[in-house]
Amino acid sequence: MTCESCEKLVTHAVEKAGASVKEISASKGYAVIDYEGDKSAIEAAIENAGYSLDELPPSTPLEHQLSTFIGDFIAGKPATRNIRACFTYSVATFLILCAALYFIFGSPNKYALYMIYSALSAVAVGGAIALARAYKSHFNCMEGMMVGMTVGMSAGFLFGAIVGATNGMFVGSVFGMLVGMALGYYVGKACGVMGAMEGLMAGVMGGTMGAMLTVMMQFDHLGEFMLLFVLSNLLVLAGLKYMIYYYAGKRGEVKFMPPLNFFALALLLTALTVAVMLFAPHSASTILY
Amino acid sequence: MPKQTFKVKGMHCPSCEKLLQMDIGDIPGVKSVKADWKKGAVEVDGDKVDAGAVKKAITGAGYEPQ
Repeated sequence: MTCESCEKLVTHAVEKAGASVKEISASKGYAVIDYEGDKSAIEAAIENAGYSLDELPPSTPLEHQLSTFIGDFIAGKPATRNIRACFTYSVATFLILCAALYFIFGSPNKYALYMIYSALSAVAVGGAIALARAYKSHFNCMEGMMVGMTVGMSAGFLFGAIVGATNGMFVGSVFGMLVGMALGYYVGKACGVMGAMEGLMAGVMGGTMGAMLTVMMQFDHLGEFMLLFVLSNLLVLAGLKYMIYYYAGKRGEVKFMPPLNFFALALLLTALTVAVMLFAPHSASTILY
Repeated sequence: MPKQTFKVKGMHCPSCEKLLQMDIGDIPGVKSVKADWKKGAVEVDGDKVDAGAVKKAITGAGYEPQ
């Protein structure tokens, strides 16, 4: 439950099943229900209304939920099929992209590390987009906004920071902003204008801030920062994928993006970033100039 | 089988659609209901469905019929 409509819907479902709701909170994710006799009809009514009754109580620590998920992921349980496909495609695509970059550009050049970061960012952002698009019809409003915001901001941060480091603040900001806005909008629109707005705004913020950070850090451990920054964003995107699995994944089966489409998406993002890195104007103030 | 479409203001998510479908579905004569929050519309299918009752159900669920 995420909003007032969810509370009303659950209340209606419970009342139709012959019970009454004493207390309900979408923000806290619970309902206190007064009933007599068998509760299975009430549970069925709530589930039919589109909500899941968590096996884990709301007070279960997130760490416990995560350890359960990791166990299911490793054991290859059917519920984790799409998120495992996302992980497998991401690793395979990243390796292919790295091999292609090495084949095209040969021995390491001054942009090599940033090209690898581009490929890594492309598969991480691409994975989030693929999962979000697969589950788009299962998102409620709040989840759709969260997905649009996270994808828009992470994409803006990552691509803005990479191009900011290689080309300077102007090209980095513009590129990061455009990529973040486009991807944030594309993913966020699944939940209507609010999601689209979240995606657009996050793209503007992430793109401009990513580029600003790397330009400002050029003479202060940029290499170490970039590694931490990219890894931090990958962690955020991994969290987003888990969120999609945890909430939307329980609301029905969906078909995940075919591997070739996934590869094409990551390839497009990487190629675009590398092209900008190599052919767009370079600011004389960057250390890679 | 006649279909009636009602414009509804205030829907913002799939939960709103389900809520209206559930409420309008209880009106006598209604065979099926399809709400679309993106279009802000509810399509009601059934025999001799009272439009006033549908609008009352929409208002009762917290939305505004137009």
